Amino acid sequence: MTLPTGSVWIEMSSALAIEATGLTKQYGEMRALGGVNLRVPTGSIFGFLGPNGAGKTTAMRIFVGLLRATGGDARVLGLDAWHDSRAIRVQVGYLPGDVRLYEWMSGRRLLAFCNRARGGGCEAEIARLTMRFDLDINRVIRNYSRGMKQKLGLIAALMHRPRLLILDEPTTALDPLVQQTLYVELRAAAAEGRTVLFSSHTLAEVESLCDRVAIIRGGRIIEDSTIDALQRRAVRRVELRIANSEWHKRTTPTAWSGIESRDGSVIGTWKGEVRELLSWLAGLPVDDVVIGAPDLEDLFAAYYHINAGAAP
Amino acid sequence: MIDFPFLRRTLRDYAGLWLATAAILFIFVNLFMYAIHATPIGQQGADFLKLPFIRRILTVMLGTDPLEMLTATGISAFAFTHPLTWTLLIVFGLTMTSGMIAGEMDRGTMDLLATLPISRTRLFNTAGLATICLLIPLCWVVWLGVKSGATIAKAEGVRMDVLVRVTWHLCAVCVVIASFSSAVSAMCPRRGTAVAASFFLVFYAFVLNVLRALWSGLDLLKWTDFLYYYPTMQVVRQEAYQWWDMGVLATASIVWWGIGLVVFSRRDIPAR
Repeated sequence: MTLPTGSVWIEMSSALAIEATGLTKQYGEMRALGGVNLRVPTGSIFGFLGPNGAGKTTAMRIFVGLLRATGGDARVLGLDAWHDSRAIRVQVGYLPGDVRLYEWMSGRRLLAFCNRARGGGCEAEIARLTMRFDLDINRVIRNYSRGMKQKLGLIAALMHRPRLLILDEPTTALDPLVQQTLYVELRAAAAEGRTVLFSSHTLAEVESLCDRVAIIRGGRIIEDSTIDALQRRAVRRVELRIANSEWHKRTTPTAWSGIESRDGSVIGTWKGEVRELLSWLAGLPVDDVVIGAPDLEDLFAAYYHINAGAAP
Repeated sequence: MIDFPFLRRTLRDYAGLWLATAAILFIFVNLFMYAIHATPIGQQGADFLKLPFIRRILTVMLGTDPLEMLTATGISAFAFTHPLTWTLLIVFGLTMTSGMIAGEMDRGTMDLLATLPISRTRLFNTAGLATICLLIPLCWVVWLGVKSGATIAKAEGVRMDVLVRVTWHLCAVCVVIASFSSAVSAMCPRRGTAVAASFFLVFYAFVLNVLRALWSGLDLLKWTDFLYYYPTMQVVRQEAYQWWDMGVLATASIVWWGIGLVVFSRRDIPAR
């Protein structure tokens, strides 16, 4: 399979867009990454989650060759992230967490410079993205709002239709409408077989957009799973109407908690596979049941929480 | 080894500063030439130069006894060592070299630059070439100012061909300063630190130059002073390039350049 990468076409040789094995990064005594193992499949939208200072940005900067790993191995598009960083950067679009641009330039001049540095040929895509994000690129960047700078940074990252997009909190400062536009662009990129790795703190965004997520905390990946698998393990709100009020005297499964009775109805939460919930309910005298959508909020909160020593 | 879009962008970004510096330099050198040639140095001036302290300082600064060189060309060559000339050239050089590497990191724009498909070697080389492209013509503005000033002041006997050699020596010194500053810039994450470290070298050179005039014991350190390899008056007197000095300056430039390149191509670019 081949995909356009600016002026260069490179044979896709790996099923993994990013493969990190035992990746470590040490700043003196401070350990930013402590043996990260990460596999980002080609063509996926991969969410990278974690509290501030967990190591998300450090890992992403290693993947684009801005930082050199202290140990371990990082391969991006089948190439060594440090030694082949120039070849990688031909095929990667990167948006840093804190977008800084040349304030004295106009948006047009900045994009023209990036285009020339990438060998040209991105004019049509720049025009399309400028329209999509509704950005006035004739203004001097100094006069841009934060959201406009973010849009310009996104256009610079997307304009060469990279095989891999690494976006560090891309929706920061974007209004909801532009966020939706970005989601559409990212989904379209994934549909074309391109890969998106992005970090975020917005769970709804991750839930709606990602195929897979990894959660990093304290420089280690503590969860790497598909959204479906996480949802299966997530807490669901369950409302039951049960004719027999003595039902709770029966043994209840450990996945069931937070029981609350009110007007003959029972409200609780189920944490686990929905299949097991159904088989449990089958043995109860249930008149009616409402099973809510899985709520990842609690699951992620548990991962984020400092005292959550083990994975939930 | 050069990235032309980056070169073009850099030259364009610094064009305004270059024009302003060149204009000030040109006007100053013209005024200087007019002042020294319109008013003969006279007996009082000659007596002043004979004062041992002044004579020693000028000898160290110029590389030869100034009393031997009170010719039109010799006096005109003072324009190449005047403190204001130095200040303008050094301020421009340090602004540019510190702005291109440490400045990019300080502003956070290095993230954009270093994630374009330009190797770090290319980035560093291009930054250096851009500096040379602007700094060397700035040195030639001094020569142009001398020529123009000599014409305006109707000074006779100013050997512009000899001053061409002085100008090339000035270029060599400026390139050394730029190389050192680029190397420091590659090591520092903050522009202020890079400027301070580079300024320290320049300050050290000037202070050592003056102190050497007062205490000959410091001659032991003269090899560490880049101004020692800029013997303006020797060039004028011998009407020849000082190849040894030029060689030392060229070597120092290459060494500092190499250090900067190795550091920059291996260093982390931290997030702002």
